[in-house]
Amino acid sequence: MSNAKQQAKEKEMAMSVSNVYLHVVEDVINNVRIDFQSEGVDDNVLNELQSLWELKLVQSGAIQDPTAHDPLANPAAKPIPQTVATPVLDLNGPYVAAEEYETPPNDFPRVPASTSSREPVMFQYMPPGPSEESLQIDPGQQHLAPRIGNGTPSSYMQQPASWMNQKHRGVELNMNETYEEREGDTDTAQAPVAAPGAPPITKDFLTISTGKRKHDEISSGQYYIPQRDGAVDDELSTSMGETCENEGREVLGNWQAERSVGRSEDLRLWLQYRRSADAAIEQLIHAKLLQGLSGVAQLDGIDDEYDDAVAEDYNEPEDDLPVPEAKIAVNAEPTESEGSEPPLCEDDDEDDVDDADRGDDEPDTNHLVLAQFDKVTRSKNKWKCTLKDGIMHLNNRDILFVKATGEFEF
Amino acid sequence: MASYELYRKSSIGMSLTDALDELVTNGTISPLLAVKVLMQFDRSMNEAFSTKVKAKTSFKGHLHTYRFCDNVWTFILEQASFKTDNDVTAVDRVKIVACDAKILAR
Repeated sequence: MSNAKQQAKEKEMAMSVSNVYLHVVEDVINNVRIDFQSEGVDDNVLNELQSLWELKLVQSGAIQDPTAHDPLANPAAKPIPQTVATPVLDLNGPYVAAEEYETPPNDFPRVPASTSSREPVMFQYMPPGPSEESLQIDPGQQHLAPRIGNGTPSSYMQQPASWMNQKHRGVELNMNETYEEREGDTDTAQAPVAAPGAPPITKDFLTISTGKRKHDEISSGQYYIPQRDGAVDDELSTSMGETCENEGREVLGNWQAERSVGRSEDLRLWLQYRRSADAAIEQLIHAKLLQGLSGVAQLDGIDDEYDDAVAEDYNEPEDDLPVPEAKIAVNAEPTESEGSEPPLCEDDDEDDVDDADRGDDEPDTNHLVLAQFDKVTRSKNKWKCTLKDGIMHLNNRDILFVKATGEFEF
Repeated sequence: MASYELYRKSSIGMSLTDALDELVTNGTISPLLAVKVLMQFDRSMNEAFSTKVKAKTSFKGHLHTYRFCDNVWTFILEQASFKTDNDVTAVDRVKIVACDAKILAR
């Protein structure tokens, strides 16, 4: 019984949908008759349009009754509203209205990652290494050696000043010679006798100031790169490191200018060391990131190292706080799994969202609802919306509504 | 004097568009006339909603995608059920396109 009732009801609904559609057809035809006539088009064409239209409607299953265009079946179709005065609506034009749901502007708090500034700076100071050697060759400056040789943190505060002075005097030396003579004795704090192969005293103090990274570089390529961009990595010698680096910077800059003159065969070695320093720096940066908390968390969007590991969500104002923690957590995680990421390409997009052709022709694909929204709200992941004046095409059936309320979860 | 062209994507709108396309391709009517017909269709559709349609619907589902661009909401719902006058329709995936109803001009 209920089945028959339901079917009857469906039929009735479908009939009413057909009625509405046919009413619309009649309305349109009547209204464009004038346009057709003003264009000089025959009425036959208009009738042809109407029959074509209704035929296609029947074919698509939108209306059931092919004879419904009989005027007797549509008593309400006759009155033609002449005073419909809906103003021009340009969907693409600027529109300002009070929205229930405002998409907040993308908020990108820009916190520059401190690690990134280090890298380019490093390479500029490759050459300075052997420069210290030059000091020892210069007989006039050998007296410098014993003083700087201490290498202890307490004493080297004074050394840079005197050393820098010496440095300026020795700037015009030819660095090539000293470079070849280096023996690679690295991180000892011994008192260097003024021998050509002795480890540069200045090197020691720079080593201490910049922490373990400098040890890596020194051991790898007999070179060190003083850090010039601010706070040192090693917390122990922060203040000392900064002071030394500030002073060392100008000296090294001078030295570099001189050095670049005669750098032909050193270039290869320089590049080699550059690469190894690269690797060392990368290691340190990663180590820092994995520790996570001592560094500066990146808050400004996609994580730079892992392209599509982090899901972006910038439309939710209340989600701003949890984002940094999520990002830090994600940073640590994909290190192993995404070592070699292919570059972003169009295949990374989710294909199943707006796919036009879904392979085989399913009969009920693309269920569609076209409507106007009155209100769309969201609370956490619960969405509510009120729609009006809609056409629903579901399961190959058309349903019209004046009002609709929806609740969904994201 | 235009309205939302939203309903041109419905069955009735597509039928009209196809019919007009045929006539224009045949050269029976000019494209300008076809555009005028479509604009009239927009108006008639909107007017029909305010006079002829009475039904109300409610629906639920899982939101797969949401988009709000150019004042148009697009939702993609999964496992949705639409209830109209004790008639329930269930679909596994539906796209909802909604324009703003509050534009003063309308």
